Amino acid sequence: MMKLLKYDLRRNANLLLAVCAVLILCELGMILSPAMLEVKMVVILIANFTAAVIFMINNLRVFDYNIKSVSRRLLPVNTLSYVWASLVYAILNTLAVLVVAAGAGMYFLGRFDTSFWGDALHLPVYVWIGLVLEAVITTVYGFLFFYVVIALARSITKKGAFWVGLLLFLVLSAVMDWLENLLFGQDSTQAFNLVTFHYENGTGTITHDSLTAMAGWNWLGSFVFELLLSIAFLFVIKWCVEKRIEAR
Amino acid sequence: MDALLKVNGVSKKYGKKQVLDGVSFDIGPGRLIGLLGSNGSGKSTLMQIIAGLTPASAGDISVMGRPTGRETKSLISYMPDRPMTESWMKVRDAIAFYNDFYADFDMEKAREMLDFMKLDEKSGVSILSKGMNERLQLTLALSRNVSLYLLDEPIGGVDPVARGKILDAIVRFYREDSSLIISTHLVGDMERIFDEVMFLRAGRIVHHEEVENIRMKHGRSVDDMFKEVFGE
Repeated sequence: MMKLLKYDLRRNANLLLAVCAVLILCELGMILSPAMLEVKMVVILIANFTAAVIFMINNLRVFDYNIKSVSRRLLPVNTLSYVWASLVYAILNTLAVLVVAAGAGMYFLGRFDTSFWGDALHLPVYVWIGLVLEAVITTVYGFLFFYVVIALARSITKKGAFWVGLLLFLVLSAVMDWLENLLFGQDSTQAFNLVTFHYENGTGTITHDSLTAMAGWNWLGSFVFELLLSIAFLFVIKWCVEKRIEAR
Repeated sequence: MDALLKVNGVSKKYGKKQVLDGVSFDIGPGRLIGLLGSNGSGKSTLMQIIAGLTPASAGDISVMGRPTGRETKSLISYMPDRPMTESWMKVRDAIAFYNDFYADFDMEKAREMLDFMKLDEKSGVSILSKGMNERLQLTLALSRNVSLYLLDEPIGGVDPVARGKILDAIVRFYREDSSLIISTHLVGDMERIFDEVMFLRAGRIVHHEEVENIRMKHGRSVDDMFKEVFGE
């Protein structure tokens, strides 16, 4: 898996380094510019979002390449290694964007009222566990969902895999959300409802309420559901790669 | 003697098109086999199925008694009809890639082959000519110490000088205790190296015989027989 990751990173090194370099230059340029603080923040947010989208698309292409290219499929590796390598690749890229974003975040930290973050320290332990679990599972589930769509699209058709994949994505995500809503009364878009806060900048001064945490363990069902779906996705991907997808 | 490769009733369909139809044969160790057929006869598809890259619609394949899968990828060295390397690589990266993934990769043999093929380790893969690329692919495939080598059209589309060099390399560097299947339609150039040949027509093996028999019994060259079988 690590060897696959190494060659995925080497193959895409130019793109990854270029995006990071442009992002850092953009952030530095905005921080040093005389523009208004809000303008700086919006531009930097857009730049980070764009970088995240580029990395996401690149990651999906990496997975697609790994499951369909002759040079990768010939390797004597476990089928799920393609998934793990792509997943770690995605997490590394996400971390790179987060680190670059954190640099700009430090700049803004001293310029906005961020005292509400102090409330976070007083949240119950189960909320913290829930938040960490949710972040991990949502990330893994999200990427696996994209991977399973790619694997199914590649299994169904040789031509027009993009459009088949897009259709599958829309149908599957609607079905999953409906199912989650039916079972737990919430879908994955409400995943971070564990903690809510109110933040307002309407009167020229920034006001906020205390962080509030959801009581109990109701969120656990949704976590387990996504975890089970993630495992199911892995089996589907394995089946598609071994039994259906032809290397080209 | 136990078969090294057993192909039993393998069929492959793409939509309504039957590409392979009940292909069966056994290959013993230490043989050089020509898989001969015109374009579109199913040679590459059969190679890909044996290599574990394409699932068969029916039938089964085993290599040294093991069904095709992850395990048999360690037993087979396959040279596809398109480059295995990636455009960002230099020749040395391609060698390192193989060395990283295949425990049976022989670095010393690879260096010897690069030298024989007149390939520079610092050359970028993307700037290699078709002939030089074929030489690199062959170097990568033959530098592994495995029981079965599959070479798909190793001299397809290359000039006569490069063909000669590639054929010399096959004869010089292939291990005699292993078997080698070469698919080609350029029979005249290659028949001198084969021990046996299989003719694949419209997805079926229509003839499988020792080259010596063809010459002795039928008094013809493989090329003549090929023209007779595939002549229109």
